[in-house]
Amino acid sequence: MNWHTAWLVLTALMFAGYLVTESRSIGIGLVLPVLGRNDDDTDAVVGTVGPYFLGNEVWIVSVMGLLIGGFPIFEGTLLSGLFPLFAAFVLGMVVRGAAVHFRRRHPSPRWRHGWSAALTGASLVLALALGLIGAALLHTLPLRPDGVLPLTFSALFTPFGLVCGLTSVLFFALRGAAFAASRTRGPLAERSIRLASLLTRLALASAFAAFVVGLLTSDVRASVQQPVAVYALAGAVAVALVGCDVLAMRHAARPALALSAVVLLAAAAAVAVGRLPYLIVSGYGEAAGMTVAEGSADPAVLAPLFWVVAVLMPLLAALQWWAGRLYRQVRTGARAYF
Amino acid sequence: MPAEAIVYARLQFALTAIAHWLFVALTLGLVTYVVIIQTIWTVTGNPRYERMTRFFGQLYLINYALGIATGIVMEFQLGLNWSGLTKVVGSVFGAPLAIETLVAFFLESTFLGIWIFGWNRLGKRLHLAMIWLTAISAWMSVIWVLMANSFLQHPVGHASAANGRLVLSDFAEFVGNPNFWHAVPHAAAAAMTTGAFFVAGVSAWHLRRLPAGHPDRAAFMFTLRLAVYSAPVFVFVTAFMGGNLLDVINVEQPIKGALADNDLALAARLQEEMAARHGPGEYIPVHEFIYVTRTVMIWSAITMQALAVVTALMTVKDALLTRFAWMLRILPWLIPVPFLAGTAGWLFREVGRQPWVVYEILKTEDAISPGLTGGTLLASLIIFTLVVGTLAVTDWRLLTRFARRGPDGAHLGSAGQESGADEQTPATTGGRL
Repeated sequence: MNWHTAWLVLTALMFAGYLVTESRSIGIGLVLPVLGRNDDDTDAVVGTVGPYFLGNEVWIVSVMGLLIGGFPIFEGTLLSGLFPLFAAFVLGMVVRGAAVHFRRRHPSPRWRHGWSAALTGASLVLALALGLIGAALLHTLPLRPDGVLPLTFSALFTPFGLVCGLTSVLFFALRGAAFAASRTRGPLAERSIRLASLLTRLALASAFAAFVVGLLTSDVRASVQQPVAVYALAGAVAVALVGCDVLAMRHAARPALALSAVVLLAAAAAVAVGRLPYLIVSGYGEAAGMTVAEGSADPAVLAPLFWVVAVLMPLLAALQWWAGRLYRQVRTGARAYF
Repeated sequence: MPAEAIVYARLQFALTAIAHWLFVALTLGLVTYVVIIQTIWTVTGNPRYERMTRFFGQLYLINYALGIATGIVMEFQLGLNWSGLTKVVGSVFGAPLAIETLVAFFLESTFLGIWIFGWNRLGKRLHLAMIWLTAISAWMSVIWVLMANSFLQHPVGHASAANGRLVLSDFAEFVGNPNFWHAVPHAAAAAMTTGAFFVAGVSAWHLRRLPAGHPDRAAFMFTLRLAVYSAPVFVFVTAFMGGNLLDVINVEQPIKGALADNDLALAARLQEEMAARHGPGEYIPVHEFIYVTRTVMIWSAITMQALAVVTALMTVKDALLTRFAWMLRILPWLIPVPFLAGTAGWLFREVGRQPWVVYEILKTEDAISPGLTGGTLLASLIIFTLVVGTLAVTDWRLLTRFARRGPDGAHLGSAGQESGADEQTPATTGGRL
């Protein structure tokens, strides 16, 4: 295994950590208007993820850090080529962060309702942007042989992209509903688990639609390099969704929460693995595509940096795991800080 | 790439970087004072210091919200607008940024979360350890980010690869960059100055209003002294290291140095030398700008130092402060001065190295993302400025509100609600997160 591949594994693990942790925050933001029927319920629902919020949102910062350090060529090409999607993502992060920090800092109902709505709107932008970015990566992109990926709106907002965006929103919402169900009691938990069950079915329909649209889109077929892996992972998404629904109907909130993470991870893995050995598949032919080696930094810096990150990552994950155990005892509700 | 596109991208970077520093400088300064106050609380067990920990900790948290938001914009902006930069120097300057996100930022945010939500739940000493670790990891950020920035200012420790990109060739030289070692203490002391004047100003505001005999008077008297006794040290170190950094700049970036001295004849000569090395072009940044920002820094330092020393002397005895009560009126007005000086400092540092983004290696105009149009960059500039600007103003209004409400109004470590009854509940009942 060369350093590029080793770095790809590290970055993928970091992104997996991001999806598992941050999907709880994004999901709670999405299901907030449905579950938060009154102010107390709204506070209780936000309060479930409140203690985790700061720890969740740092994962994407570290994913981007690993991309800048390990895959600077890929990072610069992707972000500027998919400019509106990443710009929307950043705006979503900024507004959502402010909404969580500000929401309970003022007693006026207008203030609180306004920031709750901003929390939901920003979470929607984040989930949509992630879905559209995933779809764009599964598409051939207009990456020119000179390495420039000009911003092309028509390549970003395709029918396939929109179905993937919707699917992404439903996947994240499912995470939120399952998380709320596992961290609340009484009628709120009951409504949360019923919502989770409904969301698995909607997500299954939407994911199936995305699969069909993908099959019918020649640019998507052309970009997939590992069809077997993609079919297997798409199957894993479907199985996990069905399993999630079965568990939700049995009111097994914690196992459903775990399985909802598998849904997201399998979908993300399909995007990541399906393109290998390319990071970006070019519509200009095989030679123009960006392989893992072409997108990454020089091995002289990858090698020492690899050991730093490989040692740190498990420690950071362990720290958050310990914090999560602590937060489980934290009572949520009217007195939560977030 | 049209010329106006570069202007939009540069303007956006300048606005984001300035906004980021305004929040980050206060984050760093304030968290250090919170560490000191909470340490005293833990050691003495005196509830007076608990109130002050919660009060200044609350202000620190409100400020933190926008520090992280603007930091995320900074990080993504590199790839969005400046992919030419990551392409050419990514293999060198990406490394400290990658490490920063892990050992500094990731840890800072995780420890901060534990500190907020572990209040009354963790043991006193463990809880104290969390704010220490938050502060240490926040300061680690300064080191890694300035290491990356100093490479752009004065690129050392690299070699050119065949494809025109830079690779790391000498790690010791990269880390030993003199620009970096001078910039760190300068910026660190500037952040501490920002925190000191903030704590002093807020404490003075309350001291002027609290009636004699009010229990919070002693607490604010303590925080005022803590701030004004330390402020002269921080202002001195900032100015002293700034002077040393200028000596380094005179060697590494002589045009910036010449403009700082308003020596236009020298700058013109250096311009010719630069043109001989790198081909015809304009190598002098807007010269009035450099001289003005340098002057703003110097006069801010003189003003702050004079007033900090006078205030420090006046707070030696309670009686002196009663006699010179006008001092308490002035201190809150000094809170913006370190922010002004910090903004001038970053403008001096970043504008002063133009037209280079990596000094004498890569021009700013060549670093911009090649696939973008001026329209996209203008739309991005407008939207980000409106959104981040609105949130920043909202954050400062909240900060002012919580600063004025005093220790009773803090949500941190207390009830999340604002009704009077909740806030009066003593903080010892536990389970109140």
